[in-house]
Amino acid sequence: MPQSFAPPPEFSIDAGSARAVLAGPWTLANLGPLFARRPTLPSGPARWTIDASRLSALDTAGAMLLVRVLRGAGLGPGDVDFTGLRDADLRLVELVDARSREQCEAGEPYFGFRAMLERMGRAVARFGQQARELLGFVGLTMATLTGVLIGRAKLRWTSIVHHMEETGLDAVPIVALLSFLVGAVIAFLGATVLRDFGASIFTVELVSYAFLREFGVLLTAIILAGRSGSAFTAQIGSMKSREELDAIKALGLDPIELLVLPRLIALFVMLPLLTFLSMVMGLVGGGIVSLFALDISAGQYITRLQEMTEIRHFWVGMIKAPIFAFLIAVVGCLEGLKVEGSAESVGRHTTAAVVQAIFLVIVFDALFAVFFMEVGL
Amino acid sequence: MSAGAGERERVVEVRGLVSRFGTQVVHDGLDLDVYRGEVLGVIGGSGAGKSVLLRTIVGLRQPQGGTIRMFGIDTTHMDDAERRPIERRFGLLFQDGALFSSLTVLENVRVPLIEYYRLPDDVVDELAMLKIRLAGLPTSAAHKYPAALSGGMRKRAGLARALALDPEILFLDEPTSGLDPLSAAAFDELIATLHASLGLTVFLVTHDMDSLYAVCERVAVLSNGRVVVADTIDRVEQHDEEWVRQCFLGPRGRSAARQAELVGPTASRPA
Ligand SMILES: Nc1ncnc2c1ncn2[C@@H]1O[C@H](COP(=O)(O)OP(=O)(O)O)[C@@H](O)[C@H]1O
Ligand SMILES: [Mg+2]
Repeated sequence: MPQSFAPPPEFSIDAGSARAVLAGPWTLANLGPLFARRPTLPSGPARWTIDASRLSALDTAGAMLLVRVLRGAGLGPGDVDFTGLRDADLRLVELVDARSREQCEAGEPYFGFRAMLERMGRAVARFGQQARELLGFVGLTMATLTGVLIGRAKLRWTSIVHHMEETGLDAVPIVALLSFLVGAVIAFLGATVLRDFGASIFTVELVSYAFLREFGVLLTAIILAGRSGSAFTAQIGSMKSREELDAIKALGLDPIELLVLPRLIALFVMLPLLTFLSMVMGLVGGGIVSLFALDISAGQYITRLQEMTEIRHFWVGMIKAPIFAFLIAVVGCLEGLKVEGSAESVGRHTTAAVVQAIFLVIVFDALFAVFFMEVGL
Repeated sequence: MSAGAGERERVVEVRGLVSRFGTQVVHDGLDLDVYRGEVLGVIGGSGAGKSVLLRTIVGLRQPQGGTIRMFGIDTTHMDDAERRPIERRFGLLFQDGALFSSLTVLENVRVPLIEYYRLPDDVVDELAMLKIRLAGLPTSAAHKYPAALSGGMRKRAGLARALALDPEILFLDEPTSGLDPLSAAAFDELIATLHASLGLTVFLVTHDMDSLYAVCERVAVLSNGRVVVADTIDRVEQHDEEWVRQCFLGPRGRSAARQAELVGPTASRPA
């Protein structure tokens, strides 16, 4: 690099004769050390003369440094005499002086304790706002759904079937496999713990209670939150960022009716079906482990299931499925509608949708557990 | 060649450039010079290879043949490490600004300053702020994210970032496309001002006949993979190549020329 061979930029002052000398290349590439030294000009009654005859180059950074030095002494480029400064350089100094004079407002502080407190406060306020938005959106969706029931809005069958395939049918392999594996894991757990008490046969109840009441629906809901909730956000979000939603509204159509309802209804139908599949596969997984690790035959397993597990456990699990479906679809669509502008916003809202959906599903599941316990189901 | 141009320093020299995509030949032995301190307008039909030429010169694309010299150094086959000291000597404005969307305008402009130089924080901020104002943005835009800016403001912010390192050459790819006529004219004026006050060399790819008349001292016309003519705009107007005639003598060319006569070129005669 040529500039590493050049002499460093210099700034020296002679207070007696009120002369300051600029020398060397006053350019961004060379100015680091000089900037760090924060040169100043003592303010005095005399009019300063600035000798730039040994200045080899000047760019905006150099001009800015000079303006800083002058301003430190309460001066502008018009208050000093320049000697040996080229016309173009003088114009540059004047331009920089004019442009940096306009007051610059500070940005929000991002570091430090107070900034952290502020961010925390904002986060809490945002949480409340999000809850309100979600409630508002639920109301809007319900109103549109009612519109469909009384025939004021149309149901988009093509779209519903398409989403049923995407969110339901396409998710069958993953839901089935994961449920099977989790069922097997629970049976293993049961086998290890219960065998010590000589109560291996209770493994059947462990698996069936767990899957019918909780895991079937919870597992399915979490998989669909990650798989379909995020897809809803990304689809609607990228449409929003390309102004397609505005186009829909401008054509006199309703985005809720067109985009949200089909997804909501599709998930409403498919999540319970997938939950049923998940329960079956979990029981199968548990049964296979029982067969190989505990020597409980298939016949024994099924008989035990029929005798000891009441059907109400199935309904306790199943009744939660449409509610989780509603939560996932509404959160996914709402986050999609909140996207604005850039592609980055789509990514942020997709993450938010998945996190919120899983959060809500687990919170509601816990509430249900308490409720069912209280009513003795 | 216009008289006297031969003695000026060439900051970019393209010789015998060949660019191909598969079997499609985009440049076929293209020669072009850019002289220090000038504003060179590059025009040509859509798909003539203007953007490819720009990307090849700045090293974003490897040519299939020919050489490129910047500041007298052969940069044709440099690797990234060798290229870095050259890269900080030019600025590049992409079509839509290509701002980093997760950073505010101020942070965008800070990026090259922080990456290349070790400077105190307040100096970096002040320099970045200066560039933002030089690009004609209000200070209130500095803390906004690119998504919150209009198209014209995004281009100005992109320009501020391109100016961050005080480049010697500024490469602009259709900076006024997609802007309304008023913003486009304001942008032309900004380029002319920066050219005059910072002594920049400007390589301007454009479709806009108004920009051509308003800011360009020399115009290079790309056609059939070559530069068919590179000269002052008066002489290019007289050239008898088919595309050039249609372009300059068509309705848009004529009205832009008339306009330019009324107001006079802003760049070629700095105050
Ligand atoms: N990445 C690419 N792959 C294949 N062909 C390309 C690519 N980039 C550009 N081209 C082709 O090169 C030609 C010149 O493109 P470009 O330089 O973008 O035109 P313009 O002059 O309008 O800027 C076009 O015909 C285009 O099809
Ligand atoms: Mg192009």
